[in-house]
Amino acid sequence: MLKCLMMKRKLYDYLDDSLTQADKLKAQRHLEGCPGCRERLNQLKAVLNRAHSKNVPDPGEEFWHDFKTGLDKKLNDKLVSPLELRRRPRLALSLKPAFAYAAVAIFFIAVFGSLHKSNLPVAFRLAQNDDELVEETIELDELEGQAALNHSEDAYLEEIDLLFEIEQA
Amino acid sequence: MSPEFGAPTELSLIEDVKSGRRASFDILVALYQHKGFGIAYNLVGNIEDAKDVLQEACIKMYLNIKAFEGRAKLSTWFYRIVVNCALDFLRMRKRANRVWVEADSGNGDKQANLEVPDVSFDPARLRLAKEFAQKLEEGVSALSRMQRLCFVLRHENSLDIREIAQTLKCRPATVKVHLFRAAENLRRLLSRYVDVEGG
Repeated sequence: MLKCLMMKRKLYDYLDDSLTQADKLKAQRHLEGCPGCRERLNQLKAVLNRAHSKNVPDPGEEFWHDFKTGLDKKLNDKLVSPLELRRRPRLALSLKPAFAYAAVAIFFIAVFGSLHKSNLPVAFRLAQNDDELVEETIELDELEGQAALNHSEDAYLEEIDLLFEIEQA
Repeated sequence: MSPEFGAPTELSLIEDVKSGRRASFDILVALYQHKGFGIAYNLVGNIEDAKDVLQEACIKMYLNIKAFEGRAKLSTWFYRIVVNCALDFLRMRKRANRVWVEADSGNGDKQANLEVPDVSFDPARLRLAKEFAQKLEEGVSALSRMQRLCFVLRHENSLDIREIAQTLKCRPATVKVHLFRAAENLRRLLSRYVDVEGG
């Protein structure tokens, strides 16, 4: 005989008539001797019967006429709207290259400008007088010369360090 | 219509709709609108909202019918669309209700909409029957999404397990588990009324 726990799992299938013949017989035998499971079965049956008896109201002819009219209108609106939407992308697409070219141009001008500004500050400045320009140019030349000297000195010192290390090794 | 003689088949109607023939679409809608309405009504709970949901589902069917490959029946595919539209609608209504639910509570309109069979003229029994029907509604609404869908489609719309499985894109065994759990939850919730009603 089925235990109550097993029966609990099978009650729904029993009511739904989806048990095998053998299982159905076992369930019936258990139900005959078990008031608890019988009560549970009755409760389940009442709930399912009530759910089945819940009628969907017949909305009537007028409802279906309105439904059809409304559906046709909504569908027509949906079918028309994509055509309207298509015009906007065309305008956007025609403007897109112009915006893209403008953005690229601004980017290159900015990059080009910044490079030249760092290397040649004098070239981009409006000269107030020639003397200033000459002085600045001389200063820049001197700075560049010092930098070159320092670099060569650094390299020289590194070479010496390396030689010392080799000798010590 | 494709076939020259006799009634058009579902397949020929689908092909017609795919090529843009609205008359064939109208025939398909007429074929499935009643069952579709039943599903929508049982999920959203009133006629007007069910109409909107069904119209939305029909529009989606028309616009997406080219994607229908014919692996399942068109009816099953359409019911799936109805279920999804109803769930979308419920989600939107839930959001809107957060604001309005307090204002609407306590007016008793919900009870008036419930269809309760006339069990007897005994006022006490009638009251209990109404309460039972209302509690069942509440209980079904409180079930988990899958339990509720399986229960409504099986017990309120009489779809079979295989149809529900195809509609919800899951295995029949999964549907059975959800159905069992839903029924058990409702039984526990409503046992008081069942005992009083005498089963």
